[in-house]
Amino acid sequence: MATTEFLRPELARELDRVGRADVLVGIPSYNNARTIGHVVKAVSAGLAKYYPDRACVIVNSDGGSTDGTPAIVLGAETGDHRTLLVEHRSQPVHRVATGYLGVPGKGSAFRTIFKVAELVDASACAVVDSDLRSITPEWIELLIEPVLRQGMDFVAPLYSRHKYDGTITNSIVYPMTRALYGRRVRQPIGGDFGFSGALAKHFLASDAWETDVARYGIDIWMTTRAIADGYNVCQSYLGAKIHDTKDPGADLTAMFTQVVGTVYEMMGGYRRIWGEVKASTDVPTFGFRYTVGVESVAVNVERMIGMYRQGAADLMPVWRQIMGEDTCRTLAEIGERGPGEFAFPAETWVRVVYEFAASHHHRVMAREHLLRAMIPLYLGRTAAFVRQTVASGGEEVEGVIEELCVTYEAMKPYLLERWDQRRS
Amino acid sequence: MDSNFWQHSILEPLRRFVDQAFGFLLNNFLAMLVVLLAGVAAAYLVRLGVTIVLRLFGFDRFCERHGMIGALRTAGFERSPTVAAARLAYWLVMFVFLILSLAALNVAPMNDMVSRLFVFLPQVVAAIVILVLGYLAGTFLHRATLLAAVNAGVPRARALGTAVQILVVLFTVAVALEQVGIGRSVVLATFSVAFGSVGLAAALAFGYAARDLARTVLERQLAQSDREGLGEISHL
Repeated sequence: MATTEFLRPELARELDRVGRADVLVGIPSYNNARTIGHVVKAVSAGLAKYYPDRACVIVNSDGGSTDGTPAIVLGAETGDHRTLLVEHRSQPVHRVATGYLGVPGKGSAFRTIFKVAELVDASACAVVDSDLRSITPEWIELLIEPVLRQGMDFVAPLYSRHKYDGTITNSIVYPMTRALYGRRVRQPIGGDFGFSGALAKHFLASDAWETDVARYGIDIWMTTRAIADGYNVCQSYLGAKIHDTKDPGADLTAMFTQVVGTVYEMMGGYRRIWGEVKASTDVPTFGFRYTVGVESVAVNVERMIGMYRQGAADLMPVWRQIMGEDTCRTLAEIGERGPGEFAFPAETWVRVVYEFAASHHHRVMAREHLLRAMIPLYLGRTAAFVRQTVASGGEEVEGVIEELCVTYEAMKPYLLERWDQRRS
Repeated sequence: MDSNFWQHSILEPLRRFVDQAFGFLLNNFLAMLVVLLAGVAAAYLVRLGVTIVLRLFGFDRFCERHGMIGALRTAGFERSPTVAAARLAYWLVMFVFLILSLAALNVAPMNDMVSRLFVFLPQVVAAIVILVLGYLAGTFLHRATLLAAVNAGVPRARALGTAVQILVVLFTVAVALEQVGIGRSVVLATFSVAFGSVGLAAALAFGYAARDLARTVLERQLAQSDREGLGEISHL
């Protein structure tokens, strides 16, 4: 019998009541009383419509909310589903709300959900964000069905986003994941995803839960492990992702260092795998793709360029410890260009990312410092990307990102050379 | 009569002096030489051992990572940190054996000096360790401050980082001097006045002369959105 350490004692009693479940949907939360009711209703409607004869459970993994979020989960009225249902449900939808234990952050919330999935022996599971405003009942089918009937283990989300949303994803995480592990998962950091019970058990066996993975790094950690460990990965088109105003506690430095740090950290453990990958391939994509309007996004390009210039002026001695002289010279030249001429070529950016990866591996300095030194470079690249695509539509921007990915893949031998260069 | 006088007043004392000198030479001075030679051999073995151990643990890379190579070069030492540490260990051992060799001479005024040196030596070693650790901490905090300031868009980030490093180094030097007992009260007074002055100047500068900047920085810290002033961009 699986142990229930890091689960609250009262949860075990709840799960005895639930018994076994076929489908599980997890909702991590922290002070989401304003939005979680809508999410629970959409999930309940989705389970009722698409899996009326399956035993289902909704699990809320809460980080200690003080606004009554768990109570809203348990008490949310699901309303009349006759407009959605073809037939009445023959199986109940259980709801469980529990606090999680461990390092504060989304990772610990997911770990609790995975554990519950293991205990109730769920075969198909999904997790959705608690602040979603654009979630529909169809999302449940799109995340669960590939696992339940198509033999998939991990379903990544595919959203329609504003061209300037997800800049860390677009400039680093997606191209790196594609170049390293050979699978084109367009949005490897998505808060909503599907997974199999087998994959949940695989994740639980890891010892990464007490590290920074438990904070911002959990999404990319899961995607990377699913791909690199040979599980069947796909993606499902969910439409626009509209959620509540961003977390005021969200800090770019923490977000960046944890996400990029996780990518770099995992490269060390999977060197033998990504070293052999020569090209990338598409993953199966489910869902009907359609055009949808997205909210506009204001971007302060001048400030980003200013921060890049300050980095080039003040951090050059630090950058020289991390990157080669040629790259540093190019970066200095970029910093000296006039405001109307600011540009950060894709090839230079890829060299930066790869040299940082190699230096992270060789521990040329404290890793936290190394990752923080990269932030002005990321802002410079983002500013240049925004300037380059200001008049472009969504498809053209995807074309620019595709070119960046091709550059990442073409320069992979350079990464291998730098990675293996400083063997002690 | 004359021969007895010659015997007792000149030859006997001369013979005793020669015996004593010879005895001193044979026993004590020889002992001193033996101890010195043993010291040379021991110092050589220690240098070899330190070199092997430090190379095994990648000491040079550790120093390079923490910016100590630059400090050594500034001090005029061009060789690697491993060589520097091995030489330091060599001369420390030599110094200890030199003191022991002076003790072997068994000359009364020297014995007192030798015991004082032996009491002083651990404090010197502790002071050296404090200086090294303080330098490492200063370098680390300099870089941490620099990176935080640059990423927060704070102007003159490099000056801020250097100021932090200088403060840490000054504090370390004060602690090291305190450890060896040099000018205790003077160092304490100087340190207190210096830190107090810096703190007062910073409070006046930030709280009065730059109060508008202070307000802007605090407002940004407390703002519910757009903390870095980069726009509404969602980075992930």
